[in-house]
Amino acid sequence: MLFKGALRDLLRPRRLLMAAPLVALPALLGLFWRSMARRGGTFEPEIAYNVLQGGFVFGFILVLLSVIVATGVVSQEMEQRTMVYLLTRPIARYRILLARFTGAWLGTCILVSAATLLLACSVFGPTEAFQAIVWTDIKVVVLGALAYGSLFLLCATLVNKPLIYGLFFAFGWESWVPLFPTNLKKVCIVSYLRVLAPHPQPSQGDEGVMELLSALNPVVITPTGARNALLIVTVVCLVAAAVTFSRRAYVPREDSE
Amino acid sequence: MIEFQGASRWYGQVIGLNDVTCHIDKGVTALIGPNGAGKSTFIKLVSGQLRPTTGSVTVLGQSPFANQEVFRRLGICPEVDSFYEEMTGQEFVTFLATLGGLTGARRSSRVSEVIQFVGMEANAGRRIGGYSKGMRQRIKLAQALVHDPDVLLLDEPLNGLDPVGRREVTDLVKSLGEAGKCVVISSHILYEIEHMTRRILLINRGRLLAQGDLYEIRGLIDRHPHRISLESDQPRRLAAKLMELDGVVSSRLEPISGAVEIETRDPDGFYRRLPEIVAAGPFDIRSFASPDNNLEAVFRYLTE
Repeated sequence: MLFKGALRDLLRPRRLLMAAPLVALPALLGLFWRSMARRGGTFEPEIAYNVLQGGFVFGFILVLLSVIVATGVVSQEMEQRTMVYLLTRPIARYRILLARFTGAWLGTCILVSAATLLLACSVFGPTEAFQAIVWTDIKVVVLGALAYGSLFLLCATLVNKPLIYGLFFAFGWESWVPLFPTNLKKVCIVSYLRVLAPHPQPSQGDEGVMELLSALNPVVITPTGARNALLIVTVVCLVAAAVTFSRRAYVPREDSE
Repeated sequence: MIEFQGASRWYGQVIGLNDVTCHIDKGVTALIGPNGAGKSTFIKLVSGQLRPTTGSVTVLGQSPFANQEVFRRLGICPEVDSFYEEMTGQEFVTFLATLGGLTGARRSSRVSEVIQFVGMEANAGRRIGGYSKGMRQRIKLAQALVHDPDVLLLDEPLNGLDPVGRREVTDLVKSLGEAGKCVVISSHILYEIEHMTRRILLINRGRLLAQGDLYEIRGLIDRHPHRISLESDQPRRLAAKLMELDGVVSSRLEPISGAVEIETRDPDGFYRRLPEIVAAGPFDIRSFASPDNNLEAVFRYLTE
């Protein structure tokens, strides 16, 4: 019931209307790229797919939706002050959390996978869209949504404004820390996703700052290591979130006299 | 059924409830106090949403925090006007009945029963987002009752209800108390509380100021003389006569009604002597009343 409720809540028509532009944006950019290439020059679908899927779908949509949806599992109930109904029922708190998280995770997977498929349709064409790389990406989306989602869920159980911390992590930490020397790369989820779903970006000719920083940081992660790391992050974060949620009091601040 | 032992709850540097010790048994108990007194903190501690910072709170012999055994027998109608707005009233009550452990035919029949009980059968199929304040209160009450709890916590349940609705909820609370449920109702509408119960817990600034029977509490407040108002055909002579009685500390004539209002430190003694005074004459006493025998007066005395 909680699972269905969370999924239904996420896939409500009004929510879908809000998410639709984000989901469709990579595909629209792909179409735009294609139409520009027709006017002069060549269009290479693989390059367009790699750029938009690696940079936009994995680097932006997956993270953004995971932050919003996973932190919403707790913070939405707090903000709309409906938590009291859930926490005063004879059902274990961890079950409430995990059921709602599962719904939210599945919803995220559906939306990000839709973005991936739409992008593939736009760059490869509808008949060529279902390529191996697309299926691999969808599998990695599922794993990535799980890892990001559990991390942001833990964040939501620990702090009062999880969305802010989540966004900082998503677009600050995940963007910059992998570029730093030493093994800091290994504490970024995006590093493991890039190993599992590599999307080489085209060279610009001159080496930019990013490329230079990346070259200074040649940490090797194997696909098996990446998969295991994401699963470990997921399990640790989910267990920690379940334990925290079972022990902490969740009362909206303004309700506290 | 509910026990507080030196329970305090702090919100950082702010105290919500301070060293409260009390026992609440079956029947209706009113939790009264001004806004910010600690009533909602009290309800949150009983409903297991908060843990006490110090001391203990037990419900049905167990700590209520995240305790499924307690929640099986506890219903709460929170003060906050919050719902899953997209759901219909029926879906909302059914959803919470399911979380409350009800299934199948039993769930359907209980949902129908409580929706009918709170007078929402005509509107149960509509989205909660479109409900009036009164309807929202009623459906909130329905979800609290759906699993037939032994302990019922009602946080300001009369808010937003029209006079008919207030009367219905008042009767409902009384009937639940008479049926042996432990009902704790918080409200600042003292007049209506008085119609539900005489058993009160009075909280102010986080402290429990008084608990017990309203009239007994009033009797214990001997620091404040008890006012009694009498209407007579000869108010001045009556006032002079009453001033001769032991315990009467003042008397005055009401400028508009012409009634005599006396203050006595011994109301019981005064009421014992009153028939003698009437019999002795030569004045008639048309009516008498005590403005201090109501909840509002107790509340005012204790909080001022």
